Amino acid sequence: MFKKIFAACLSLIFVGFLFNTQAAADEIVLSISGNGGGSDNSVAVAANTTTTVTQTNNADVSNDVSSNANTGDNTTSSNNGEASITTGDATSTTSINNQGINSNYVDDSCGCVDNPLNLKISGNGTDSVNNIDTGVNNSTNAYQSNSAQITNNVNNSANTGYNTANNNNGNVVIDTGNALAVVGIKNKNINFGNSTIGSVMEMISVSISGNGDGSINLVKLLFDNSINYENKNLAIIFNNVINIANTGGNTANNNNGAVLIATGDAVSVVNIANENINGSKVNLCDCKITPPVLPPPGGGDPIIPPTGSQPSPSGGSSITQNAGSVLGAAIGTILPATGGGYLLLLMTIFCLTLFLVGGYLRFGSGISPPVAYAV
Amino acid sequence: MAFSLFLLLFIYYPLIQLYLFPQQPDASIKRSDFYIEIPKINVLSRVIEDVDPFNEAEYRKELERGIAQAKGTYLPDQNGTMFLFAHSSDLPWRITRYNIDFFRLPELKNGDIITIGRKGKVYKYKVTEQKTVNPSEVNYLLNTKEKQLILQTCVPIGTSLQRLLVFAEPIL
Repeated sequence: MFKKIFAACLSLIFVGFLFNTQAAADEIVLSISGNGGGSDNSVAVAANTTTTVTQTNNADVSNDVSSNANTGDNTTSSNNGEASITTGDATSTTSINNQGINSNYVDDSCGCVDNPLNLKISGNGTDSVNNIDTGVNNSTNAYQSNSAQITNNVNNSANTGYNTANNNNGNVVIDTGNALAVVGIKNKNINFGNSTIGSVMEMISVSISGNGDGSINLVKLLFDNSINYENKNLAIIFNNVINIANTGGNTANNNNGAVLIATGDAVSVVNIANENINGSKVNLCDCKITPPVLPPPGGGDPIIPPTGSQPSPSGGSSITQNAGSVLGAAIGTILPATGGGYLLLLMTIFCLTLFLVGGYLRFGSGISPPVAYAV
Repeated sequence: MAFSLFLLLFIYYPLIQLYLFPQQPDASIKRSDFYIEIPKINVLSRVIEDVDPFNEAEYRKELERGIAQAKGTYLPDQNGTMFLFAHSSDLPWRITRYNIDFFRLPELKNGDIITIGRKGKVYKYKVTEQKTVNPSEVNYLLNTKEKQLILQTCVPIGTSLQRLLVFAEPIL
């Protein structure tokens, strides 16, 4: 009974530390020690944390712009003398700038926990059975979705024409200026997901020492970290532009004198730029896992293993240390399969079996009985 | 008996050919934008750029055309890890269709030279390490900060049980 209460207390303390990493203690100790010979001592701790972030952005942007610059549409008619129309330049400029629409950002804490986790089995009697079983399961889920519908309707015009000089009793001069119509539309940085996600790892040391003969000491660590990231972006962009530059359409009829119509330049410029539409960036980060401090076979003081240049991941962690950034690619769970299936092996075995059976039937069987023919 | 021998010969002929009747690599490959050459195991093949290593349908299709460079890893002129993978074997009736350039990858030893050509530039690497890992160890695809080359294929030959990784560092 005492051992059960002891184990339960240790479990509660440990779980409390796992969920509250801001605890003041510098170190978490999980220890089985000082128990008598033949005793059976177990501590089992399981901690599961799940972090789920769901972000959704929907934007519906509509820009309706109508711009008109006009120095034309002038009339001088039925004059007894000379008639003259001179217009200035007409410039109409429309600019629409849609930037930074829909972005989500997740910055999940990741890295190493300062508080080391020490698992210790020491000083227990002979033939005791001591078992520490810890399981930590961290699951991080980030779901981002962005939807943007942008509609830009532009009606832009510059006019210096459509001037009229009719029925004048003299010379007629129509001189128009330049018509310049400019439209600029920029849709930039629409729908972007940026995530930094990872897992928090403990610094772990395991110590089994000073236990009696015949004792069985077992420390079991199971770490399972999983990260699910999903980013969906949808952008529907309509750019509807009517852009007119006019210097013509001038009329001079039924005049008695000479007629001169000189028009300026008509320039229409439309510039539409769609940049960085729909993107996602994921930074996977993790604690640089220090190999667990393992005791040597048979117990004793822990030995710190040498650090390799490319440590192989251990335990149940599916996301490993120093993961770099993967842009626009889903992360799978296995390295690419570049071998054949088992069929090649099976077919080889089948062929060899066929060969051996054929050889036996051909050479290993007895002489066939004489053939008897029915008369 | 004869049938079984014929069937065995049919299955393994591409592999027998690799050793007994090795074909001269197509020199025109060296004029392509991206290729790999490993003289020791008689490999000269095109490299297909930006292949998603986690999309089996995609990379199986691309591996019919050459050796794949994993999407998200770096190119030889960039400062990071380049990850290339190719078949070591395949199903008996497809083994001749797919390139099995990495069939002899296990023969590479430390110090062997690997040449990568890309857009007219040649990059040389020296093999530094071989490692057999489990399929789940995708960290080699994600941990791309170190400037190195990793070649991957499946072992044991004929299965997809494990992955052989050959690490090489650039020769400066």
